Amino acid sequence: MVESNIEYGEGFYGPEDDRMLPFRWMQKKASVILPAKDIHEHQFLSLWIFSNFANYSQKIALTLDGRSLDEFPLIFGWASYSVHLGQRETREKGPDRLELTLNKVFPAKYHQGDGRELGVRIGPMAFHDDAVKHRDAEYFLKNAVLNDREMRQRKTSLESYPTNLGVDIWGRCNIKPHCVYCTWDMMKVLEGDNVDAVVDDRTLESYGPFFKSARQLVNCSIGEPLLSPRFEEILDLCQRHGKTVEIATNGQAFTPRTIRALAGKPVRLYVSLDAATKETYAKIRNEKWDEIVPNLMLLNEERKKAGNLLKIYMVFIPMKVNRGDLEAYFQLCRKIEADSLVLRPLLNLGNPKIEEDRGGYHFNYKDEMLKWEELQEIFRLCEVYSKTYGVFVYNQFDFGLETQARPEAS
Amino acid sequence: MTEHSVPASIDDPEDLGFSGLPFCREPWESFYILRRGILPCCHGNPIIAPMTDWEAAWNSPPIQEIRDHIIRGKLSPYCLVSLGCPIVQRYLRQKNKEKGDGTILPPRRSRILLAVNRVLFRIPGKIYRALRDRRMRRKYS
Repeated sequence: MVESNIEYGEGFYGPEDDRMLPFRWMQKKASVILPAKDIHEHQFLSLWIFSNFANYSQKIALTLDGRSLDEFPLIFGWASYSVHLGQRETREKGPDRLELTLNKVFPAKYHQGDGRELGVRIGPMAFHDDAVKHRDAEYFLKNAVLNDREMRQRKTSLESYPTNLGVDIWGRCNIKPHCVYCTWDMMKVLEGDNVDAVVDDRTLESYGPFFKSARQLVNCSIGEPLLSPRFEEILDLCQRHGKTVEIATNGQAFTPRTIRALAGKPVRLYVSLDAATKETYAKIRNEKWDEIVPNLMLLNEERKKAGNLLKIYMVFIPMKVNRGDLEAYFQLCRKIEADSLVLRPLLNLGNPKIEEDRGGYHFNYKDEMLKWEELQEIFRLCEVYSKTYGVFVYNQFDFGLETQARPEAS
Repeated sequence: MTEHSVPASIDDPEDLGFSGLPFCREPWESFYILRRGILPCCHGNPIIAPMTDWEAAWNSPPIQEIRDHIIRGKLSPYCLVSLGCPIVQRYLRQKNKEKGDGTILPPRRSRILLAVNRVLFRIPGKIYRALRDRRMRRKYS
């Protein structure tokens, strides 16, 4: 991948950042000047595009010096695309003006405070010569369109593959005894002999169409993924194929190796602390609080040096044990410049028999679950603290609310 | 990037395309290949197939049953026991509110059974759960 010195021409607005990628809004039509040297030396251009349309009805057409290169539908949200720049002989004279044209723009009624004509967000662009990556990007887009169509056609047996792939990078943990709310014992019984099954970059590639079709990989290990000896290779593979990775970590496995692997990668790192003080942390996990915050600050510095692709999301599961830490958690998020504070529900396990004495506190899972009214008060406080400390809140209790449809009585 | 056919019914340039989507997209868009087994979404419970059967599980009867219920605007029996799902939680909260019951936890088991289980070193409970999980696996395999 070769980062390019691209000159943004007509139809582009100034640089912005949306907590995911640095970008520029483009109007319905825009152009960029690509360095002639890069066009001559490379076969493909990869670019990140964010569309606000969820039905693939927004399309982009690209022409290079008047010669049509490609036209394709855009996926909702951020996605990486790859464009073939054409045969070398036709490019040798040095065409360098890339024109981007949309079939329609983001309707003004959805951005009334912003009077600009907004088409799509154009993120980082880079040249490459990886034909496999290009083919995979084509395959990915074709599958994503088919997947959406099959869902809208209400099909139950699918020819398409999922666009989010959940994986299980590592089955062991460095926190022993495990966190007080972790269902470790139960999960390890279910995992059986698979606890030590190898899941690395080669395994992910062996998933074939399931890997190629995924826009993002979500790690759902009952274990600490940063401990994987192939962690760096896994992230490299995903980056090479334009995939983002979601990883949850307990924050106790930051080493020079893992920080180096994470910085500069398109990773959404969910750091599960659930506490803002040493005392509360000891009630949920252990006494190792002191080393966590400096490591997070170091990670923040390293990711900034590496282009800020890594996103740090600080997870807070509201429970009885930690609700007094909420404001301090916002302050901590601000201190380490987290991209977001994530409110995550404590898993409803029915009538769990999980009790533990830790850090001078008796943790009884069932009693730790807050009532809905108490949670609503937490949400209200989050709104206030979010404004006070300038920390964005991502509330996972809202999962599934983006569509109007609701389940009926079964 | 060529040969992409997009549904032709998209006429309204103001429609962002969220209408017409099912209330949950997970069983179409997501798939979890985990050490503990295959899950149709991150909130799913129990597993629907062993880890090694990932290829066959994608269009297996349990996932098709979940998709079929969602298409009809309903939660499948599988979803209804996946209590970690916020969509299920909202649904149960609403149902219980209509019934005048504020709790979203399943009904408590008899105190006598709980006492017997405790006296017998919780072995009956373990046997019960093992049998229940086996039944569930058989049903979905």
